[in-house]
Amino acid sequence: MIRRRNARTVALLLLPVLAWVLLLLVIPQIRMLDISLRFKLPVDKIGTAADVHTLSNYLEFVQEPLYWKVFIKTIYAALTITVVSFVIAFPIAYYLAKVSSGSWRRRLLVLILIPFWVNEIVRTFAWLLILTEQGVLNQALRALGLILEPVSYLYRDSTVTLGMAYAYMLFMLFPLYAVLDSLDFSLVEAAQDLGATNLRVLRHVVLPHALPGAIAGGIMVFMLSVGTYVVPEILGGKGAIWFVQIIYRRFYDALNWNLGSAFSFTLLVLSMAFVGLVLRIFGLSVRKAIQS
Amino acid sequence: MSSGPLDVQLVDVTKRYGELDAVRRVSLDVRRGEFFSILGPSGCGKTTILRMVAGFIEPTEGQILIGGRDVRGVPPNRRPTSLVFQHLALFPLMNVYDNIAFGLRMRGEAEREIAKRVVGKLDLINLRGYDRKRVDQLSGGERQRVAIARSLIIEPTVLLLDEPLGALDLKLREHMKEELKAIQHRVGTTFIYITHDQGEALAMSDRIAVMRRGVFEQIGTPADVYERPDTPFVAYFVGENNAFKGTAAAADGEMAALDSPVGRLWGRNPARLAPGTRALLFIRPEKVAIGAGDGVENRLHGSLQEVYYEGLVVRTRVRLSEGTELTLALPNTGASTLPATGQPVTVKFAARDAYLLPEPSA
Amino acid sequence: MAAARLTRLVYVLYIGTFLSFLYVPLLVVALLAFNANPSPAFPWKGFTLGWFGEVLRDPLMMGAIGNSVLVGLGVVAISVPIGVATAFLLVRYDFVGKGVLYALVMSPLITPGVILGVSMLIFFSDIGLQTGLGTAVLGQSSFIISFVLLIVSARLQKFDPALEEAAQDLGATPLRAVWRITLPFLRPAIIAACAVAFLLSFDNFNTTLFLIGNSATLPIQVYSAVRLGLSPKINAISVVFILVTVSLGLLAEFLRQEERREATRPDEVLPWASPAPGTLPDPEPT
Repeated sequence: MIRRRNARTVALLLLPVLAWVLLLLVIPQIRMLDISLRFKLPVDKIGTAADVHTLSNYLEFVQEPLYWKVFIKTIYAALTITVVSFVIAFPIAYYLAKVSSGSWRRRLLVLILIPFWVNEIVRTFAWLLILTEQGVLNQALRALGLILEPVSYLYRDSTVTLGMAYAYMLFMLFPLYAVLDSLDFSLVEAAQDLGATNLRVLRHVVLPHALPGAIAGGIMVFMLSVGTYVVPEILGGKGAIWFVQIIYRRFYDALNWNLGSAFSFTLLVLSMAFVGLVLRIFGLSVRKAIQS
Repeated sequence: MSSGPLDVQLVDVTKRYGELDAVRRVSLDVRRGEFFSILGPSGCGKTTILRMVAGFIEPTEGQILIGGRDVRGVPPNRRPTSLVFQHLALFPLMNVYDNIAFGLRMRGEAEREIAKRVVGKLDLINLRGYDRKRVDQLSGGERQRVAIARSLIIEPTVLLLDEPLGALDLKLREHMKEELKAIQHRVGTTFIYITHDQGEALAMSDRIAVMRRGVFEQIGTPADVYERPDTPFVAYFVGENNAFKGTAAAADGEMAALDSPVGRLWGRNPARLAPGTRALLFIRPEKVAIGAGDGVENRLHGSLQEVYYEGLVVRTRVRLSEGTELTLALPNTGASTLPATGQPVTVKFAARDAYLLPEPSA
Repeated sequence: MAAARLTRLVYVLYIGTFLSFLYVPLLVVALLAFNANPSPAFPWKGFTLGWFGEVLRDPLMMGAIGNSVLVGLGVVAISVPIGVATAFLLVRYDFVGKGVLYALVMSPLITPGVILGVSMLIFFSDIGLQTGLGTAVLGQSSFIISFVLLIVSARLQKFDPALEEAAQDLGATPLRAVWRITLPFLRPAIIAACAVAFLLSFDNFNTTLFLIGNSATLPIQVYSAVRLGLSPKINAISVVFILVTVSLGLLAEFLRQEERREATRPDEVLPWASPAPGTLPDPEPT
């Protein structure tokens, strides 16, 4: 690593970087916080004496059951999906990394990657087609004689959760695969040689090594689940409301940017807190998790 | 010593990092056409000196003059020096031709002129026809030579070499020592060469500076440094040496005696040590013979411990009466007159081959 | 032995189920795009390319594709240079506040897209910037730069700084050394970063939604179509969408494999090797 005392170069490089960070990240988010702390006022009253700072938006969030219940539901579902993705993805990642090899492994990887690249909307639309009343699933079940009348699968939280899992699960798979790939198999063999059962090997050798990957994947899946918009909009209908939908509606339906900002800021704090908490619990630095 | 124009001068150069002096008040004159080596263990500061001459580091104090010009503040790309890096730093994405041509291209020379000179350099390093080859297709020795050609083609006043032979295996290293010396003679450029391998320094240099912990302990020709070391460190570091600890006694002009646990030994006294000074008496392994003959001032008795047959030399260790061990390097003349291991043996050496140096203070 | 074979069988079944779960929905979508049924459902009423034709004739759809391409190119043009600059800054230099800057540039990776969109919408409205393709480019760049940064800095860290010093020693100014030596070295990573940036931009919805104003990119157009009602036309555009993103994804992955392979070539770890026996060079004629 070169460590040049050339302050001019540093300054020159800092220019575009700071422009990006300040103009697109820091200032907008500070402004978002600022707006969240103000009342919604008609245009001519902005900047006047009535434009004070207030916590009223946040109070509204806490007091209105609709809002915070949805918030809790979103978090709960996100956590569930994160855990479920880990459980489902882990064997596959392990198989890919340790059991399969050579060209078969590469082909399998590509096979799994392809749906990963398909857009979230398309994937959710696919489920819509399958689950709608005239949809493929109902048709199949009726054809098989299992049901008489079409069943409504949509517009429920469980459907949305399924759709989210489908969309986001692969984000857990790849970091897990990467980290398991780097596990030296001779460690497993050494443990077995020393008398460990397979279960023990799993617990003491494989899982600890996989931890950074699981953390990275878990953060990604949680982030996506908690910030999901398209999936509940398409699969949830009017029956299921999720958090980002509330944000969106505040902005575009109610034109209440202040309240919407408050919700956004709450979501931001939630994500940061989650990441911080997870990293703290597992004692990893931010740097190591990112490298996964 | 031939005098001539000075290509590189260091005047009281110091480089300080915080509390630590990597280089302390070092002065040096390198004459045109000289092959000058700086020899020292890792961390002694020789790399720092080289990088200061090249321009990657600026001295904290002192002056550096190249070709008579003070080069303070001059960046490396504008100094008349060229550095052959320890790991060569050949540009991996370019072939041999482009690597060698790089410096000339930076100067904006015409391609036709460049082609002529690159071919000339390839001839010089005996790699004619290699111009289209890629760096990863070359062997270690070939890469070495390309790196040198790349640096020489811009006709620097001084060529700086940073331990270039370190990673080569033994036979290749021996060969490259001769090649480097030959190239230097042919081209006539001043070379400054740093290494921790005293075999390299002795074989190739016109003069050597032995360096330790940021200072030069001695500057001289290879013979100077080997036969007449100024300090115990130099005596130990350059070649192998035996040393006896004791007190100086009976100083008599050029010679002096050392009172040591094995008795009184005689040797030269270049430092004119006064009697009573704590001192070391050094004698090189090849200057010690086996046998009880006369006409030699120092005679010791001991028993033969080990014999190592090394082809060129037969190395033996003799344990003297009170426990000191002496290493001998006997020429392999085939006439085997060695007693068996464990047997008593007499060893002898001339006083003019030994010398006293003051014991280093802690 | 039997246990191993049983395990293998279980694995195969498990992965087979997983893959079916992944692919069946997509295959359904693709299949029904060719179905001459006015509803995107069975029964099969004959093979047709008509829905694709309708897509081609739909100005909104085609416009959205065009916008997606424009925005993608814009994002690449902004993100890659800034990402490379950030990589140099963080890999090569130390300065006061570097830790804070590092956290800031990595933060978009763990920020839900909606928050980026919302915050920038507010800020742009403050400074009077109209939403549209331009703001969409800015909004997407805000987090895509972080991805570019990851890809490029991974490669930059493997660069031997002695190469730049050698170039300077041979007469190059520091800037020329970077241009002629370092950037060519980074090229595979930069190309891979371009592909990834374009793909991420093409796919993006949550952030773009707030910043695109009255225009639309492809994901947004498809989403609107889905909201309006189910029609096989959506299947058709989905097939197109799938083909584009999968091709881009394969390209990006291929480029990343290439880049990784080049970076671990033995000569860049150990710049020399001893010659094979018997190949000692001839001594020079003196």
